[in-house]
Amino acid sequence: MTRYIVANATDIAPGERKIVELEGRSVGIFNLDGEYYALLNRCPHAGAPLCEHGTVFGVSSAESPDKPIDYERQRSLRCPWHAWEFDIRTGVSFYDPRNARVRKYEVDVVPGSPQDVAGPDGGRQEGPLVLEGYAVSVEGDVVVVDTSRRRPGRTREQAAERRPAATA
Amino acid sequence: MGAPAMTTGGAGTNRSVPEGRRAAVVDCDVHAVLPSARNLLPYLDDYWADQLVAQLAPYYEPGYHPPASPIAERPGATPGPDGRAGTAVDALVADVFTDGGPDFAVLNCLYGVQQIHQPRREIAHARALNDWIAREWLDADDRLRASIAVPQGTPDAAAEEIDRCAADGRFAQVLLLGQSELPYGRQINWPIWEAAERHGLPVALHIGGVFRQAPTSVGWPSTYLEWYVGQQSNLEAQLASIVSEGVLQKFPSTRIVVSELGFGWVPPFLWKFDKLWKSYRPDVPWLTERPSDLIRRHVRFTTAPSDGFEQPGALDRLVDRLGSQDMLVYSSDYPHRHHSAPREIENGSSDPALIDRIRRANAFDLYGLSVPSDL
Repeated sequence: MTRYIVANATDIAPGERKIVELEGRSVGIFNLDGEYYALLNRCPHAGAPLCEHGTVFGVSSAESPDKPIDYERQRSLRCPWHAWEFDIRTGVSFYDPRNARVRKYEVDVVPGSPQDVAGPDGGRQEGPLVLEGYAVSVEGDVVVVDTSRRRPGRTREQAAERRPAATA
Repeated sequence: MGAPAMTTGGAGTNRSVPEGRRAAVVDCDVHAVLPSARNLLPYLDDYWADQLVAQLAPYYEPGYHPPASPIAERPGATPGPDGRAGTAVDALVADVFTDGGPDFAVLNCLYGVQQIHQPRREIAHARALNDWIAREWLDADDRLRASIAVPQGTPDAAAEEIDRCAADGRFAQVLLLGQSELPYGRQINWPIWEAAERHGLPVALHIGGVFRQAPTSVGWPSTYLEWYVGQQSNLEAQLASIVSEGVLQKFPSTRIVVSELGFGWVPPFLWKFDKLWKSYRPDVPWLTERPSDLIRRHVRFTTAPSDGFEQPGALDRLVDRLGSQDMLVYSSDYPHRHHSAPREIENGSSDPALIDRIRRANAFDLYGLSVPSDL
C-alpha cells in the first residue's frame, strides 16, 4: 500500500480539481463540497483525459417513463469527447456498469506531519506518507491518495493453491 | 462495444407448445383487400351507411401498392371477381395455403380507414372493417387470423376497438401504420400499447401511413418509388420514439412486428442508437439498458421483402449482426410482388434451425399458434 500526498487540503477548493501523476499514471482529484474523489485521468472508451477536461454533472433516474425524473448534482463525470458518463464516486459507467469503468482511488484528508515535508524540487521523501513529485507545505491537512488495489490480485502461488488438484 | 452475444427468447415469451402439438408455421403478413367501400355497408350503422352512400361511397384506397403497379400483385395470384387479387377469400386461401405453405396466415387489411381525418368516421369505418374481416374472412377458414385495424387518430377509441376485437379470439395482433400523426412512443398513443399488452397482442407496424403530414420525414416525395423506399427511415424514427419514450418499460410485455419494411437496415440502426444513447442517456433516464437489448427482446421483422438477404450466406451474416436468431418471422406478403419469392429467403442461410425458428418458433412466441404434431 502506498499513500501519496497530492495536495494541501486548501489547494483544491470546492468545485475544483487537480491532476497529478502517481506511479506513472495521471490521476484526477476532485473536491465536491468537501468530499474528495479520485479517478484515473483516462476514459476507458477512447483514452480522453477524462478528469482533466471532463464535466462534473448530475445523474438522472426515473422509476418509470411517466414518473418524475430524480436528479442529483455532482454525481457523474462526463467525458469531454463523447459525453459518456461515469459515477464520480466509483468510476463505474452508467451505460455499461459491468464492463466499462474507470479506476477509482481512495482519497483521505489527514493532518500533515513534519516528516512528510518535501523539497520544492519535488524530491521524494520517505515518511508515514509518501510524496511524489509535488511540493506542499504541511501546516494543515493534506489530501492523500491511496494507489493500492482494493482487491489485490493474487500471486501466482496463491492462485496455484486455490486451484483444484489435477485429477490423475 | 463488442458484438452482442446471441440472445434467445423475447418479452413475454414464457409460452411452451402443448403436449402432442408443434409450433405452427405462420405467414405473418398476408393482405386481404376490401373490394369496394360498399362492402362495408352491412357493417356500418344507419348514419354512417347513409353518409357513405350519400357521398357516392368513396373508396379510401391507401395507395401503398397501387393497383396494377408492379408491386401490387405477383404472377399467378388468383384474382377475385373484380380482377384484383386478395379480394376473395377462397382465392386467397387457395393461393396462401398451397402445399408446403403455412399452417396459419395473419391478414393485414390495409384499407385506408386510418387516413380518414374525421374521428367519428374513422372509428366507425375501423369497426366496420374489422367486422367485415371477421364475418367474411375469419369465418370462412379457421387457418386465418387477422390484425385489428384501429382508429389511430383517437387512441382511446383505438384501445376500445382493441378491447372489442380481442374478445373475438381470432384477431392475432394490432395493426398500426409506419407513419403516424405523432410518433408511437408519445404518451398520447399509450392507450394503444396499454390495450395491446392487456390482451397479450403484438402490435404490427406495417408500411403505410395516416397522411396527416408528409409521408416521409423530409417532405412530400414526387414518386411512389421515393415513398416506398423512404418508409424504412420512418420506422427507424418510430422505434427510436417507442424505445426512448419508455413504452417498453411502461408496458413490458409489448411485442412489435415490423411488417413489410425489410430488416437489412436494422443492425446499423441499432449500433448508432446504442452509441448515441451512451451520450444522451440523461435525457431518457428510465432507459437503463442499451436500446439494442430492448429491441432484440421486443421487436420482430417480417421476411418479405427480403431485400437481398436470400443470397446464399447473406441471411446468416445478417442474423449474426443482429445478435439474435429471434428477430425474424416468416411472411409471404401475399399478393404483393417483390424481387424474390417468399420462401427464397431460406436460401440465405445454411442453418436449418434458423429457418425453422423464422417459420415456426419465433411466430409461436408472438401468437402462440400450434397444430397437432402429426400435421
